[in-house]
Amino acid sequence: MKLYIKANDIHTLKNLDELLQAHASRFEPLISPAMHPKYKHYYYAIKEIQNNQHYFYDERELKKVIKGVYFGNSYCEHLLPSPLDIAKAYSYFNDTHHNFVFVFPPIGEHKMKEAKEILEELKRLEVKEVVVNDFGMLQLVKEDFKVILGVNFTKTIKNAFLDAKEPLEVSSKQLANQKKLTTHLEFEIDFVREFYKSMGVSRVSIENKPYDMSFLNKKPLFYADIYYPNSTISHSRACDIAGIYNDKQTYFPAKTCQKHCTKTSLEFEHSKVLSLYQEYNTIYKPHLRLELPESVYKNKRNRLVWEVF
Amino acid sequence: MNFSKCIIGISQQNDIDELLRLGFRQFYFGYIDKRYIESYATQISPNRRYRLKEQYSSIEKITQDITKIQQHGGTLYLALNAFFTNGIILEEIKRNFTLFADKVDGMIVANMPTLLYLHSLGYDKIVLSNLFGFYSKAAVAFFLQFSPVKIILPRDITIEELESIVSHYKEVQFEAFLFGDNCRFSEAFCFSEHGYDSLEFGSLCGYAINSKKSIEKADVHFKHTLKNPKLTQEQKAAQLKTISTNENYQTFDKEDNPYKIFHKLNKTAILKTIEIFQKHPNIVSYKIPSRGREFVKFLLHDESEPYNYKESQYDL
Repeated sequence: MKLYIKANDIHTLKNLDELLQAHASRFEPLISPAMHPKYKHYYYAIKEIQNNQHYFYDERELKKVIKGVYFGNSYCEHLLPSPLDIAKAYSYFNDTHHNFVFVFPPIGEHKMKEAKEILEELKRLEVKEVVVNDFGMLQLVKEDFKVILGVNFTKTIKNAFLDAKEPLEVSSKQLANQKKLTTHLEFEIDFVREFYKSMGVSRVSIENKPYDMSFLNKKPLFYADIYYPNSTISHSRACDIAGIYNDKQTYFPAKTCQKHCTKTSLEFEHSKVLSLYQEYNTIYKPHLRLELPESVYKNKRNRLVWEVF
Repeated sequence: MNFSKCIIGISQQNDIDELLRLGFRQFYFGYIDKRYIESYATQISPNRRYRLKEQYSSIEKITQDITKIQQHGGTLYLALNAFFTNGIILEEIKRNFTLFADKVDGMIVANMPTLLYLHSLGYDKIVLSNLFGFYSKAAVAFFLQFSPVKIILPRDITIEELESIVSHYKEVQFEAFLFGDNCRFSEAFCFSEHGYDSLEFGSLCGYAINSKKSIEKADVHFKHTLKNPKLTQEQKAAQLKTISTNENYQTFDKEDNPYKIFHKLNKTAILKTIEIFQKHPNIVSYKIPSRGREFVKFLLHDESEPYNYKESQYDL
């Protein structure tokens, strides 16, 4: 498989050279319970990637291994980059060795004008691939770009609490059966893949969890973007970061947002037990262990999309 | 209040006679087979509900209620709106469809496999759930290829977005939420588990608002701190630690914080919402969500109250 970087904003790309080095000897002595969880997740993730470089059949330093970037905040429509930032991001990877993919979050009607302006910029830059995370954007891009279905298309239940505690109202057999249900995705159904194939789609995003991915070996063939390390539990217009700073606006920022999330994150009372956090409008869990099936990483058309920071 | 354009969720626990007497004529329900419950319990059902009391599991009871509804000239939809599905759940959905296809007026669908399956059969009474995420005109445009009889708009949509969509697609019938009934997250993009009451955390949205702690966002430039030769280890650790910013928003974290009383009922807000919906004849159903049926009696009170934006589904 190929290694790609996911960068939610231009600042990540500007710091990419530094971020692609673990700096283990400097970092490890500083690890403590008081450390911001994001730094720890970042460090454990880069170590995990380095320990699994056999996935990419390339043991060189990571900077030389990456094949391209997925640029764009996949979570919140208020964080769409400007066309100028997109052009800047593109310039970092504007060569034949790297691929530039743009990522859209789910887009509502208020943000459609901005989304369309971005599409014009992407056409100008001759960007080929676009990730969409809602059916509206799928409708808009399917004629002009190679579409990649984002993680919002591989829906399943992702437990916020259940992994930390066993429920009493369900027997262990029922719980085991429920777990089986949540590890199977709709793309295992042939006619679902056929439907998306009919509009030129053959790549789908799957988070790094133990899903049954045997469907990737069946026709009609699909390829996987494995998103690492974060799993989205919920992303919502009702944003608790937007909400904590302003009780005058309605429960979600509609047309505009003051983007306090660029300076503020949330953790929760039981974050250390539940491994639950919020960035932007998204509550997520990191899944840091990389244990992909051989059939997935041996396919060079599959990608590991690493949200590096 | 005239409930004839309201659509309400019903379950085994409902008194259908009372709802019909009040004037309700549009209904929807979910069905879960006892055999399925034995294997999978109720939290991941073929419809969007998680508890037994919110669904039917008795064929006899639902058949009786279907008969009563039809006798009163009402319409009834079966919710096949599991928000996700796979090969296993789809088989259960197919069974429920076969069981009720000739008994109901349509099927509410929330996932692509079910939609494609029904469409392949030539079934022409498909209602598309808000779980597909109809936040834009483009989203509606995508699904018109399936000729739905009705599209359900999301709870967390602004009136402006709603009117933009329904005005653009005058030939399409829509259903819109009258109130959200405590579901404050974007349902199309919320993947958290529900229905495990013994876990004591409650729902994710409720837990999040009660348990959140604001912290400074991690700094993407943190490697400069790591490599700064002028800083001691203690100074570096201090810059990398979790820093609370709770004091920045203390003022708003109070009991009447709007985010804690999201989607409660304000009768004036609901009546104003209905006034707006009535301007658009293609909004044919005003949705009272399943759990919201308990609040119906509240709407019958004569007392009026001032409009309260904090208790309103929409910012009116």
